[in-house]
Amino acid sequence: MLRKLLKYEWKATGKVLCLVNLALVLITLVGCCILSTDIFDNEDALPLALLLITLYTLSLAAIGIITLIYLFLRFYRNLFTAEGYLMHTLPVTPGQLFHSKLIVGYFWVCLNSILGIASATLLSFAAAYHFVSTHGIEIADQFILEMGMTDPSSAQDWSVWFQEFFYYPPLQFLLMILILQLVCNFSSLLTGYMSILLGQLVEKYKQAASFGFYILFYVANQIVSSAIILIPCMRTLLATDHFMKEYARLLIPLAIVSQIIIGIIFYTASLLLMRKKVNLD
Amino acid sequence: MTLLECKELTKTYGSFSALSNINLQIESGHIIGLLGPNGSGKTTLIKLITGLLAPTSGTIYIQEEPVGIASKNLISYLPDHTYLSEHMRVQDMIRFFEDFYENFDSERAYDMLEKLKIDPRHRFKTFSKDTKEKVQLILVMSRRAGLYILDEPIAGVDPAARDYILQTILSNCNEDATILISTHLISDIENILDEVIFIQNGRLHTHASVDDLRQKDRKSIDTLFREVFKC
Repeated sequence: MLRKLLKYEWKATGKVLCLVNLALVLITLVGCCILSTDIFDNEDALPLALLLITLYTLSLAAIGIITLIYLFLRFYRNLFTAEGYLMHTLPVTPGQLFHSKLIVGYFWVCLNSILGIASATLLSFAAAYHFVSTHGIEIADQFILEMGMTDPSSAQDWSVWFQEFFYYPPLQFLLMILILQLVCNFSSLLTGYMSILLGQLVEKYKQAASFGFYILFYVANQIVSSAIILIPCMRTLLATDHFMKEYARLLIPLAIVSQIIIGIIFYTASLLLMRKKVNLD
Repeated sequence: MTLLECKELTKTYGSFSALSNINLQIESGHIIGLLGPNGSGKTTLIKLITGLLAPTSGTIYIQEEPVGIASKNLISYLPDHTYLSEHMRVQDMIRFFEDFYENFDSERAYDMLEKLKIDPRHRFKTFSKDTKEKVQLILVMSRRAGLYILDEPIAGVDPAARDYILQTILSNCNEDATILISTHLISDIENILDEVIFIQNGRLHTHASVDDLRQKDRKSIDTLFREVFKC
């Protein structure tokens, strides 16, 4: 039955979320096209460049937020409004209903994140490539030296230089960022689902209660994870001259672990709330 | 054979008691009217039986099993409002029911749609309120279920549609199936009922056979209802 639920969940969310992700791909392609022109070569173009970078960052954030809001609305509408009368009377367990939403929702937020990371990486490479091809490799080396890093031309290879700055080799760094994003996606999605489920336990103003719970859990997650991550590392970070390197070495693994713990807590709580037979008014 | 049994069933919302200590036994093969004025607790009882609400106390057994997957396979439920996704086409809904309910007869559904000249390729949102109710009823009655629970199936539709709905209900259920119809439009359904359950202020007032009540009081169920629930 879970497979059938997944099939219908996939169908119901596919159209809108495919369009959302397609928009992200288009934004990236347009960005690459703009970066391959000479539009930013003179200093007068700086305000335009800043505006485009801001717009790009905002659109990335907006696409992520739209995906999450759409999935939260789908979860609420399909399970706790009129459609819930059909879903909750199907011969399936509440756990199967919950998992179908969670699996499909998680797929979409992960796809969204992977495309987002790929987009940012692609645009960074496009910008760097254009910079090197127009200004020459010497100017790029000088820029890196001015930032206080090892002379890249004397480094054994680019990977060593990258590792000196970010602690991890490039691919491993990308992998760590990706893992962090995937575990954050899991806890973000579950924060919304759990808030909606808790909101249903309130007798009146269920939607407002769900929204309130979401804000509460979001803020609590930020505070708890900041405390878990920052407090043990604060002394090391303040004492070092290589802040970025130490930051990546200490904080990324801790952030991953803290989000996994939070995700597991939210998952268990959500599943318990679903199984408790949520009352449909 | 006992199909449904409620023991000391109670549902409260804060200090408000929607249902109090309901004890009820329903046998297979009957058409039962669940009657009471608005707000008497009919829909609450139905939601408890279908598993949409959790009881505050008491138990419900359907074929000696608590509410769960087995009971959901057995019960075909029509709520008192539209509950299908507005964006779905009728043919997609039929496929959905076919996928989830082993006892769903799609041939029967298409046959009924054809008789009513409802195009299954149309989306649900394009239909009038009457047609939406008919589509929902067709889907619910196309299941070969053991217990049909119909919450206000004839409320809000014109008299001609009421006749069609009642005819559909009668002609599509198996002999050993039980139909529980909740309504306050008693005169329309009185003639098809075997038993009635009167619910008043969340309490079970009467559960008796229609023939017994008529013989005992020499009154129609509609008249009796008006007397019992007189304001």
